[in-house]
Amino acid sequence: MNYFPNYYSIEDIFVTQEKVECKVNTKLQRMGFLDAGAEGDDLEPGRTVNLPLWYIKELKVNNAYFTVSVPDIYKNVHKAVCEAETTHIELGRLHPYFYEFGRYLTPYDRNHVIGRIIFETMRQRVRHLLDISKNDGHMAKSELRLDNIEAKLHEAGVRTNTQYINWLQLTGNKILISELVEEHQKKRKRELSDDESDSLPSSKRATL
Amino acid sequence: MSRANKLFGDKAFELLKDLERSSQTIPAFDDDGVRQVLEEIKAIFEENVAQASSYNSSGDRSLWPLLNYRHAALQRNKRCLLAYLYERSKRIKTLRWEFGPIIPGDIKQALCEPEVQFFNNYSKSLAAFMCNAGCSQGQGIDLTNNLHPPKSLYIEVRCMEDYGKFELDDGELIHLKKNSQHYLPRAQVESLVRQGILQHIA
Repeated sequence: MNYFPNYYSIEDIFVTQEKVECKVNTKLQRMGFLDAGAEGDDLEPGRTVNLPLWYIKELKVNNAYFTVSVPDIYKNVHKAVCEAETTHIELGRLHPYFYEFGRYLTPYDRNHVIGRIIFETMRQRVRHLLDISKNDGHMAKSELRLDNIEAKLHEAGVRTNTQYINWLQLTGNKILISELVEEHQKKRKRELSDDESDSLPSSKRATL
Repeated sequence: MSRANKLFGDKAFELLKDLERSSQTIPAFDDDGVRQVLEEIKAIFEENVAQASSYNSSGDRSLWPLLNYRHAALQRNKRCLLAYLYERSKRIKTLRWEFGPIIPGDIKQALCEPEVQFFNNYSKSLAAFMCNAGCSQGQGIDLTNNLHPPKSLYIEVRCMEDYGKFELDDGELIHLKKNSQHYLPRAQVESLVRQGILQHIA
């Protein structure tokens, strides 16, 4: 798994699409469309708006227009929960991009807790990830337990593990059909069988 | 009060979402979507140009945040579009390695014309590279062969569908009928196994 957020990476675009709550500090002319409930054309100070991350990250951290408020999942209440039972938390349900989102928000955090929370959670969960990726069977737990990065790591771990087992058992020597070709053939067969079941009532099949 | 301006960047993000969540290898090229995003980009840009020129004449800085917001939206749309095209071209490249130099018909329908040309150019570059890479042996090496280290010179294969006649390097003709088994040299037969026409039996 080679993931590093770059200009083209789709995960990064997904993360920067998330909305963050901000408080408006000064009057912004003709930006009223950002606020769903506003009446005038201008954005009044004191209102809270949900702005997408791709706009916020272009502005300077201490800019005069908005104050970014850190979402609750990174605040102290959750911090205690995270520390108490890190491996059992359903991180995927809290936020599908927990680590990445936190990374973007660290400059706005006055108390400097986000960085530590993310780091500690990751450190505890990586050990647990290692254990479950060695497990041969399918994941019995729900899909929501892992956040995006952890899911990718888990997948890579499972793949490496199967390759290792195949090598140990000398079963990996066959030339296999390539995955894309296999999917394509299955799809074609499915479509063919759909077509047949559609046309059967109306026409008779010629038999040799 | 007209809410004509909405948060920009939604349509472009939809393009990416559809691409990511589609079940097919390459979903159909979303011509409409791309055109809508391009129009949105043009509209935002014209508004910004008009506003910037008025700023030049009046020197009034109060509308600067709006200008900045539109600029960020422009960059965002551009980024989404480029990522969409880049992801599709990545998948087209894997197509060449998996399916060989010819794309199956139904996948080809999902590609737009420049993408088909991209595939052909990529195929050509790959072929030229393989030719040059094997210069010392006199002929090129086929990089799509031997993806795993081979263990034996000949392999036992079973035919999965009717393929017809297949000619080996030494001129021998093999008739590939469904369910027939053969003992063939690995190097020439590997591409057929990867295509699913033959199946490698241990």
